[in-house]
Amino acid sequence: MSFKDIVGQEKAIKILKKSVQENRISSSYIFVGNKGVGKKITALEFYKAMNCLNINKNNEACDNCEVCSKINRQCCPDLKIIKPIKDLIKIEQIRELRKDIEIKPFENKKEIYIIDQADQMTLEASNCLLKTIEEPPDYVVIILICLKLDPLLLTIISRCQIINFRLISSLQIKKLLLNKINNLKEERAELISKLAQGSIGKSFSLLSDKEYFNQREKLLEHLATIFPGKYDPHIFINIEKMITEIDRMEETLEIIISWYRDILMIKKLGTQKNIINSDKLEVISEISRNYPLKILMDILDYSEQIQEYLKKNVNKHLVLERLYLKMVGLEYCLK
Amino acid sequence: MAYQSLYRKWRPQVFEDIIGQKHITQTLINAISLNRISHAYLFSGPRGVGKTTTARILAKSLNCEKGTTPHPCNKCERCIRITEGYSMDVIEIDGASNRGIDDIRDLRNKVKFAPAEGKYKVYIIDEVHMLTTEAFNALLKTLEEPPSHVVFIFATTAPHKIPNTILSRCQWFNFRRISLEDIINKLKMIIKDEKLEIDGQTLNIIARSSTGSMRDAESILDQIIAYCGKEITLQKVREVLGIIEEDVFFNFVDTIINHNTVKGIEIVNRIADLGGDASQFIKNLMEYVHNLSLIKVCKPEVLNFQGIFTEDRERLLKQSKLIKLGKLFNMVDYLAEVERKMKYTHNPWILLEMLVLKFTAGEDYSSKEIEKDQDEGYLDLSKNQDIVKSDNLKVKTREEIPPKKKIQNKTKEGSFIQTKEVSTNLDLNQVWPIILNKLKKTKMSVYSFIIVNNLITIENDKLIIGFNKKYIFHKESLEKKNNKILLQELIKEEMGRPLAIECIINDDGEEDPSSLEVELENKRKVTEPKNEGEEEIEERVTVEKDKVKKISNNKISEDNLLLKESLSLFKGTIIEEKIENFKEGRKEGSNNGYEISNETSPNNAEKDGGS
Repeated sequence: MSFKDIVGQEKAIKILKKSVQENRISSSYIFVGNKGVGKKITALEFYKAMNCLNINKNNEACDNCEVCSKINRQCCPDLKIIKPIKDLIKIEQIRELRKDIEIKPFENKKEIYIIDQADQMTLEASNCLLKTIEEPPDYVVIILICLKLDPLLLTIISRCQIINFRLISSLQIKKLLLNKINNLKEERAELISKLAQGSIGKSFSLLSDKEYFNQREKLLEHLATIFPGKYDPHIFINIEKMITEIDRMEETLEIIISWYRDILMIKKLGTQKNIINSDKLEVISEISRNYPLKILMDILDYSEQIQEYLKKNVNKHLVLERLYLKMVGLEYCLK
Repeated sequence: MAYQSLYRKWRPQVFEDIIGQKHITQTLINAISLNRISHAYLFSGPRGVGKTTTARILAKSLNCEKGTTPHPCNKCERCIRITEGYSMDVIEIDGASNRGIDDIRDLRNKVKFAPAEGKYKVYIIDEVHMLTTEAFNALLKTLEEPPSHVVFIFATTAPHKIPNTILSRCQWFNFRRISLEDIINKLKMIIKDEKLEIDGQTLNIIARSSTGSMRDAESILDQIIAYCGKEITLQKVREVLGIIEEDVFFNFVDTIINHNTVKGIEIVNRIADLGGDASQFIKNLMEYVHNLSLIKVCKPEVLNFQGIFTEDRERLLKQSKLIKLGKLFNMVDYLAEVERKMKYTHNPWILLEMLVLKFTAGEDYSSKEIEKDQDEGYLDLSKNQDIVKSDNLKVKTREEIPPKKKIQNKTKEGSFIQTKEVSTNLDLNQVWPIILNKLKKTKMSVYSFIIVNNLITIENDKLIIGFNKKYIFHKESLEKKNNKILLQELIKEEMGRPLAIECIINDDGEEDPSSLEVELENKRKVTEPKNEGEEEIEERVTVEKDKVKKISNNKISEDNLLLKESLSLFKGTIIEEKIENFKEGRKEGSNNGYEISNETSPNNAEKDGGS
């Protein structure tokens, strides 16, 4: 791996390369972007570029020298990755980091601390980090990796340089998939690239995830039978069934959202561009005729809302029931 | 020397260099020169405005080798040591990491010792808001009466988290956000020193995206320098910051004005594909819409203040004329909501697509809201008119008939009846018994609640059921959700269309027989047709069976002409009643009465004129 193998993040890489070149490496960075777009790989590459023994003219690491190979194997003593324990980064972890930081690097020029999923830091942990990221020793680089900036403290953001990682276009993903994997059917590559929604990591995990496709197939089949106004008396039993089957709630919700978004797009625009579920075009366009705009918007609004509810531990059962009622248009009729 | 971030390199070292906080630096300078140094200071304010910096300069002023001075030399041993952070006498504590009671106990133990070299021992506790409650309380006594050589300086971004007992022991300085102008000036200084060239508009963008925080501005500049090297252009700056050009927003709002959904979604998709940052897009769009509404409403002076460029104004002005203010406000509201949701959502661009759809689609999200507002406004107006008219007519009324409450009620009843005639669907009368029958079978309790009503009418797809005050329990029971739903289902089944149900207190089906008689007399005196109405009321009072109700309903419509006449005779009182009605309506929150009376009053006036 080297910088040039990272797909689609030219801008971020350009900023980082320049800063190595001009020797303006800031002491703290935030890498922000969706899952699986290459944040962590870039962070490692960045560290290689800082320390590589025989860096080339393009400021790219050689990938062969002792340092690079150590980093590749992630057994470099100066590279420390902090990850959430049970979904949270606690203050103790940051305290440890603060102690560690005082010690000079063992063998490299720079010492790097990568805090993965920095948005999972507790409030105490984030505050604890403040003074450290403001004025760390010269030899330290701290990189916070997170999905979104919003959950971070403003005081943290203002101390760091922010590097945005963009979503990767489905075309690029498709190309990559077809290049990397032999005998992959083009249709499948197309579908996966759309479903991945800009995340290379997701596209690769989808490739091997049969469970996901099974579930998706089942769910979409079920969704295709739902029409507004046409609900059978066993509606609540259906919901019950739906809920017991859900073990990957967030993914399911994403499928639902993409489904209704597609319906809405087809209904409103009539074009087949930008459709996520490209394998179901016919069903979608048929359903789109049956759904009034208002219900569709209502469903989408509510599903977005659910994502928030899930974070806040609202009763899943009730939330899904309501979503279901919205899907069959019952609520709308009562209005 | 190794590279240092701009914000560290440019950290002010004397009070005079601190920008935008004149009210604080001046106070501190005076305090030092007058030797009135307090033993505890609290600095609060947003990020990156100079709290820690001020604290450090204050520490230097107190401990400089030249003696306590408002202008520390920054050359002596002590100053240098403080700047580099290893002075024995200036102890900078990270309140967020050392937040427990043990840390504070430790501090209490060490407070006693005299300073090693300087005159004062300065404790700077940064991020003090993260101390635990116990730690704060342990600090209280020390903070109140520390040894004379100790000065505490607290710095925090969240003063509201600090207990009052601490606040009252400190001198509290609140730092302000730094103005756009000050930031630009400071940036210009930095640029000059770093031998760069940046034009005014670019600087403005940097300053604006820093939202009043100097450190943010310097971080951004740092990043831009790292990216662009010596040639800093507007285009590149936008690229680094992820700022989207105004043109995009101009086009975006244009599509919303023209209801061009396809193009709007194309814009959103294009930005998503180009790797734009959704929250940045939302922020900038909000700013743009905000500017549009400003330009629509405000004078140019205000716009200058907001940092909107003159060259953009023409275009903004043109566009602002095309879009309604209400829609702009709705957009800002929706965007604010989206911004909040950003924390939770996985695919922010869908939210933006929804924005486009909502604001461009036919049955417009925005215009719907506006319509509602207008409806209310209309109602308000009509109420006002009512009051005005009634004022005029009241005088007449008084002369003719002494207003009696019962009669008023009576007429109000009349007015309701009239509505029935106006808007009742004929099929309600036919369908109602069937519905009741069914109801009886499915849920007797609901049936029993509903039959005590004294009014049933349909209006604007709303089934209005009136109850006497006495039957408030019935009303409330009927209003319970499941009962309501049951009824709605039945109605939908029978009538083929859904109706909303509204229960109101219709306080005029008089039940009081004694007053009825008085009323009867009154009415008879006036006019014969009244009697009919009277009977009907009597019926209502005595018999509360639904069948009878039906009959009476029918009767009302048959007798309506007569009633109308009687109404016209009672014109004055009606209006008087309307005021009553208005007041009552406010309490009960039902507003059907006014619309009706509003309709009747001009009619009455005409008739009156005719006769």
